[in-house]
Amino acid sequence: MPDENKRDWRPLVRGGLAAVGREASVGQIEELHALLDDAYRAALDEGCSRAEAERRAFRTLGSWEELARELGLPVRPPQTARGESSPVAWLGGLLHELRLAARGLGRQRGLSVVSVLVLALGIGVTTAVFSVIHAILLAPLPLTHSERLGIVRIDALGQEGLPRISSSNAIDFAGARTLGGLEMFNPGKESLELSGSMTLENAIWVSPGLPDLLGAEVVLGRSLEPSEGEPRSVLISHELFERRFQGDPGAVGSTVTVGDRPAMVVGVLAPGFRFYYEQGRSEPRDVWIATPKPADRGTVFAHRALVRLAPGATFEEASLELDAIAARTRELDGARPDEAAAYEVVSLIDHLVEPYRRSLLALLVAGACVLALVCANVAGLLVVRSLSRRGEWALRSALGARRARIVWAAIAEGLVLSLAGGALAVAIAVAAVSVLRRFEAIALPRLDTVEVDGPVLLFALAATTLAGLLAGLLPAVTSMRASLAVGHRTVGTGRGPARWLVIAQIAIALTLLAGAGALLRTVVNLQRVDLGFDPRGLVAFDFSTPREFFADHEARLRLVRSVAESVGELPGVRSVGVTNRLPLEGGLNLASWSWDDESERSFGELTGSFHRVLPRYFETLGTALLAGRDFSPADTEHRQHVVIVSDSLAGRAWGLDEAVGQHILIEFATGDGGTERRRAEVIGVVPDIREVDLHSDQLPQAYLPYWPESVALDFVMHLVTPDVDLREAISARLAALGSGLVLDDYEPFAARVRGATAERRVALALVGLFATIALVVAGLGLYGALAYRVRQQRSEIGLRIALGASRSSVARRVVGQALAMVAVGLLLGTVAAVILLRVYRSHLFEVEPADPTIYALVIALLLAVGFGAAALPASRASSVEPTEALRDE
Amino acid sequence: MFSPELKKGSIDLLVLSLLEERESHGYELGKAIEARSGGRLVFRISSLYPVLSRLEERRWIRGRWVEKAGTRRRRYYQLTASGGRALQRERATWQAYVAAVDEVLEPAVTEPAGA
Repeated sequence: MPDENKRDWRPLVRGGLAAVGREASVGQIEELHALLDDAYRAALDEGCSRAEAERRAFRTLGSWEELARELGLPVRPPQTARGESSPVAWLGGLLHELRLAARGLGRQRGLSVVSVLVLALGIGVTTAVFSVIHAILLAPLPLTHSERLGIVRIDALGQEGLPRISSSNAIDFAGARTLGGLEMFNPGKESLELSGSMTLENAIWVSPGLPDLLGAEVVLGRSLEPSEGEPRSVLISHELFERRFQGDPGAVGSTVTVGDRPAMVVGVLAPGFRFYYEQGRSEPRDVWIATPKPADRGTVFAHRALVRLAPGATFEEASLELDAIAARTRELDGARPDEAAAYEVVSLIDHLVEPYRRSLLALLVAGACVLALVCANVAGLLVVRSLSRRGEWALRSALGARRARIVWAAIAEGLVLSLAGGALAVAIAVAAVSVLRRFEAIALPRLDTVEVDGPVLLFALAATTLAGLLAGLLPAVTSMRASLAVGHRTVGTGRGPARWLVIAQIAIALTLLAGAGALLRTVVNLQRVDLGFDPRGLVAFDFSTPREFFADHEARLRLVRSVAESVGELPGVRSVGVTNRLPLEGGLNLASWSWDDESERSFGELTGSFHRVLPRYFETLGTALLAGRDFSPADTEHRQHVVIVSDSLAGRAWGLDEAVGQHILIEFATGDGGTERRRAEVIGVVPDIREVDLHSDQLPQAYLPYWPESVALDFVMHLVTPDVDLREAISARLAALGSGLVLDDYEPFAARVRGATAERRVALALVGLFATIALVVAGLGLYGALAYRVRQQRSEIGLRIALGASRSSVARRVVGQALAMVAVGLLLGTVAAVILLRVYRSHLFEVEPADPTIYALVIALLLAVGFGAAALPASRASSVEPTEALRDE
Repeated sequence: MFSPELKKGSIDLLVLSLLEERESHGYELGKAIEARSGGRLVFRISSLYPVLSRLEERRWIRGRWVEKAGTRRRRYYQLTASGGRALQRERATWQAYVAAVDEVLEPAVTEPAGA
């Protein structure tokens, strides 16, 4: 049976004796506890209130000095309060204080659990963000003197910071004084044939000096040498060495087929060696193919260049020098497309993280703000709690407890809560990081290296300690003031700032919730977007072909057709379509057109995207023609100048019903770098199909028949049963059609459609998480402020009840106070949210920054939280006994 | 009412004599003294408890923890044999002292003790 009147007097006894510098034995403390408890219960039995009984019991104690003297208690070893104590004693004192605090908090389970949870969320989120920042922005690249490595970038072709140079640049820059080395690389995919089996591997074509420039360690064999001849030399990753060569040292020196040519494996790279070069996610490179540096001049920006700074040189100096060299040598190449190009050398790490630095730091600031709010609120809760113990503080102080000790005790409470929260926070951070790493949509470079490691744990510990100190500081100050106050008078604190803190929290919560709401609607709207095709059962795939196929256009077209036919015969496949660019691929083939009425007079030019497709492409996508007909095999065979246009293009030019039979002039790039203009007859109209993503404005689309010289190709098949995996069956068909055909990029369209909203969903998850924390924290803050005020105004409330005020009117007053604060917060928050959503409008899709539904829901939610937070303080206020409240003073 | 020194001089005796009647615990002892003295003798814990502690150290009384109803524990004390002898001595000393004091204060009224 729980004893309601249970009261632990031991801390008081210990504290009282400690205050006079003495220490009692456990037995003595036990008995003193029993004596005080008897007096306390006797007072309760006489009908005293608990507070009164406590006071009476305490009065029976007498003086601590006398007790200590008469008992002949040993002098307590100097502890926390004195600076000259040894670190061990200091630590012991701290632990003692923490233990006391933990015990005290254990008795107030509700408050402690809530505080620990919000602290855990705050610290956990901040730690997770820091782990990302640490791995991506702060950790040096795993390369020798990586801070001296740089990437050469150009501002040209209408793009800024393009990491490319031309062959001429490569030749001219070789003599740059500021560079200690310049090497070329180019990532891609290449097939690797080894003892009869062929796989497609992530490859990188490198000039022979690149591995050494990176400081790549070769664990078996040798690195690449400046004059690599035929057969080509390749380095392989340790991972590939294990996977394809079963770790057989005989791999080094063996000859394999890379692409369509023989190559010799000369060395194996160290396990885990990784060269990050891409802004965004990239896969490790397994086959490093030696490629000579360009010997002839050329102006196409076809190479990527990695440089190492010469000793003493800076990236600025290198940028200036390369720019000057390019200006000097410009004439050598005649008219060059880079005439307006500006060259710049940036450090490799800056190049990698440049697009993300600001948003990552913003995220850290957001996390820190959330944590600060959490701390402020936990502090508020502890102040409310400490008020119920202000008698004890005053007592301990009056008994001569050093002020530092009292402050320590309050801070210890904050620390105990934050340490418990911190432990939980690490678990939260670990979970968050593992989720994050799996999120393919997050295009961060080095995301695979994000982990909760030593430095991150240190950060968590620092954040935890800081949070504990912050949360304990306000109660410490309050209790110190209590200790100074004579008797048990109420301690005044700044009501104004506390009030505005609560209002600010509600405003922030509303802003974040509105943001989350707007993002949620955005994601929902995006998922409802008319794709122009039916993704159910669609699978995209591609295969790599040996180079010889590219030489003979007709042969390649035959191959493409037989692959389509062969895969189409597989059980479960309804149809197969072929195009040079699939929907939602993320890019565009641009062309400019004019449509004409014979004389190309009046319609002007227009830029749009064009595609090459084989017959049955639309049928495979589940896209019905709105007018006209699909392509026929003859259109491809006889190179017919026919075109199928998108709905919006047809509507703009002629109207849907009039489109078929009209002509357009299409100008597009040809394979040899020139452009040509063709007049094509419109034979059909299809709905607009989503190409780049779900939200961009749609460009006009035109589809031309697939011609033999069309280069890139993608397959899409429509499966009867969506979930069948046909990878093996297709691989077998490919192998049967010719050696060197390797399946690549097998991806169900459902995943691709999901991927198109992934970025928004990540943002939604983050904003939603912050909003949830902000909501909980705002509720706590409001509760804390109200509870504090009710506690402060107890005698006033008691007086009012004594004078005849009804209890419900007292409760209403508290709720009224709550709603007044909530209302101001809602007003400010709404204004802030509308402004903020206007700024971030480009991230929204078909959502107005002032969408009334979102605000109505969010405001209703916050009002509910406001009522919830007010409920307990209101009921406490209405149950104040007038007599008790008056006597308390 | 009485000076602390005066009370202090007598408390050992009070405690021992109460325990001679029956076993008792600290709070009860304090209350008994207060009640029997008509509220004139009130000992606070800071003076009563050290006495119990000291008497136990001298082995004049023996304490033991008694748990009641599973929650509250009290330390009950009883007089030991040596405590009983000590009580006799203390009592005799006290009476002799009181008599002597009386003699000094009221010599004229008091007849010398006869046979």
